[in-house]
Amino acid sequence: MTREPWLMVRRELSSHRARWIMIGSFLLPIAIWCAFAYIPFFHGDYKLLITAERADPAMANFVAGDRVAKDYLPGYAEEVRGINASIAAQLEADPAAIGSSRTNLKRIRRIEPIADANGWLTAEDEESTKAMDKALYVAWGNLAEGRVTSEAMPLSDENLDIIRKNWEVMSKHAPGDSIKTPLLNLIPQGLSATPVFLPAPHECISAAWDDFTAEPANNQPYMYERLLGSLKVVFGGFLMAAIIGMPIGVLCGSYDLFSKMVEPFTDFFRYMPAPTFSLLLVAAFGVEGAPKIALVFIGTVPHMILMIANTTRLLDRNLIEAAQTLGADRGTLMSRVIMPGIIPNVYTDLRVLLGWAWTWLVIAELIGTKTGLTAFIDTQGDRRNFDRVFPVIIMIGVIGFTTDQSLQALARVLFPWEYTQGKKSRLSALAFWRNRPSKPREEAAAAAPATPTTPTPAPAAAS
Amino acid sequence: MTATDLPVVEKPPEIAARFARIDARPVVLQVQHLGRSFVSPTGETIRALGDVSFDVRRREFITVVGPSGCGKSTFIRIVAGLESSTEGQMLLDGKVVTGPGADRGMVFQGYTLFPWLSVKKNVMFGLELAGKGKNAAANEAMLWLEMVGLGQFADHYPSQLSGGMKQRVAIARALAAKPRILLMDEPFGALDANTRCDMQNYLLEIFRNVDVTILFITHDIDEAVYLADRVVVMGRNPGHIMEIVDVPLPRPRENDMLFDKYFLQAKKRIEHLIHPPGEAAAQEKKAPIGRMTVVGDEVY
Repeated sequence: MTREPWLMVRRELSSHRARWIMIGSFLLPIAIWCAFAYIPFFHGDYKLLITAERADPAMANFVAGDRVAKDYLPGYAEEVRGINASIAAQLEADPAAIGSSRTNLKRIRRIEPIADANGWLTAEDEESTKAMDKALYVAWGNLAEGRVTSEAMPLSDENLDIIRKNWEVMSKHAPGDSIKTPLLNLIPQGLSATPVFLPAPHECISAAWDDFTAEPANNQPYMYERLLGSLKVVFGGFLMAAIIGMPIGVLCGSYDLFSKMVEPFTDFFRYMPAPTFSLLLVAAFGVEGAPKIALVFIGTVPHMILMIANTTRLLDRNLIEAAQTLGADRGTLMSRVIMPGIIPNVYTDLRVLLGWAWTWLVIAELIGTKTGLTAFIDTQGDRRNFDRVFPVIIMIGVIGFTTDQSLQALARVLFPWEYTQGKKSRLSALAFWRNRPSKPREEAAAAAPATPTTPTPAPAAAS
Repeated sequence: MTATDLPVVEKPPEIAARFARIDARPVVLQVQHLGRSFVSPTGETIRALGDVSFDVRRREFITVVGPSGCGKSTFIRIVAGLESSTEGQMLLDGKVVTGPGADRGMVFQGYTLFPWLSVKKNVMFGLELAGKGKNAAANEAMLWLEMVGLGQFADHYPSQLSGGMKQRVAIARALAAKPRILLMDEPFGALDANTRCDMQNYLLEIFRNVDVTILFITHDIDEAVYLADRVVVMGRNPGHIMEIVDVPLPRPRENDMLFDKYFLQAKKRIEHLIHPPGEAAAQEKKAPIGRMTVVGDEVY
């Protein structure tokens, strides 16, 4: 048996191949994401665990968790070595030099992310600053005397050396005492990491777990409440567009009078970007839900009218004429021919338009008071917490996709006549549970009676 | 060419008697000087159809045959009321009709069954519009489906049927509405030759069993003669009636009649009307544009 080629113009792949390719189409992006997140070769950034003060106080301070480009870190480390050198020079000149105890405390506390990452801190430690400082003091001691090593991020020899030097000073004081002798800075060090805009999958999953389950702070709404708010905007605007747009569209498609009256202006109107009306809508409808729904509505309704008018026009005119010769009047044509005739295609149009409505969601939720999922995305995006942003974006995608697919599956139940030829949806090969091809037509032909006509001359047998 | 040059169609006495009986029947449809002109995009007035007049009598089977572009489709669409005429008028049972109506049922060349309705509900469509109750309509629809031999497909969707079966349902649907005249616009044009032959015999059987008058458009002369009592032969520029040929064949028709002397006479006359014999000879013989074989033989 010869294998079929993989590339055949306008031919379908076997369902076996199609299934695996479609599964692959979902797995591939995830695999690429994982590769960039977990293979250090692809990492462009360091995620800082140890940070230090800047030589120039005007420059941006880093905190643990910040990401810097890989080629930026050596310069930053060199800068801190410079600060340390000047501290060492000061001590050499005057061993009894006095520094700021406040600065020292800050330098001591720079070990916290390391202690945290290694799990050296208990819940009680995190309860008060005092307990924390004590725990960090212990951590310095343990590291200096080699009782523990940092597994989460191996410390450089340089940093271990600094820890030992600082511990010489610190060990003379009790935990919590103010230390006047200037301490050295730890040299900035970090873990190789993905860029900030591409958090690793596990970070997203854990952030999603927190955001979707935990009780939000500051009276913020739960994620499901945000989702319900967003769904209200999308479906509110969409349903209004459907209620108003569908009848107009059908009228335009049926009667040239309405078509000429409505369609040219609608065509013009749809080129005016809906978001440009946002301030106007806020002025008209206030800052709450109404302008948002209105924005989705005006973003969707022109397309609704034009698409449905076109779908109506595509109905085979012969069907209308056939109905007329059977005695159908204008009302009957509309209710018994045009409407049932276009409904399967209108349903498909509505699925496409629902997708449109979702795209207006983000802009709609930003106008007036920010609400819903978009408010969350916007806030967390501003704080560069993209590990919290990604799950929400993906959730919107999953909701849209599953809605669309279930509506498509529902179409088989609603419009059975459209599916008598084994017409399949694009993703049907993914459905392992129903892969029996239906062949009603062949069955019908087999069951057909022999044609009861007067006998036609039998074709002469080929000699 | 004058009419005397045309092949003559003999009319045996029993056939002449048959036509006398037909002529005694009441007229169902009167077409009077029907014509249609339209204005082309360039602004000239084009006359597609002009001065078409003839009568259709009760239970008569009339076919209209003519070359493409002779306006026969326009003509039947005007009769059906789907297009308007610009000249003349038509009377159905003595009353002027305009616009489509259930009194003039039509079977189209394309498949016009409603895809969202089952075969039975398609046939019920006209019955329900006529005010019949659901049950009565369903029972009557089943009778018509049995009549065209498709009773067991009542619950199938049209998309599950073959082309010939679809046209049989379309005929059943049109007949169920009890039209005064059944209009058929090349109904078998899209079918293959074998199915077409079967369908012609089906139609003849239906015509024998059902009290119906049929006006049938075709471009196939065999079909026109085989089915009809009279053949209306149309010509072009503008579409007009060249002659109405009485078919000298008895009913019921049988396939063997395709080789009957009278059949061939009628066919030849129509053929000569549509394609005058001198015309083809007058065309200049042209050499093929290029050689497509490398064989040394002279192929032309």
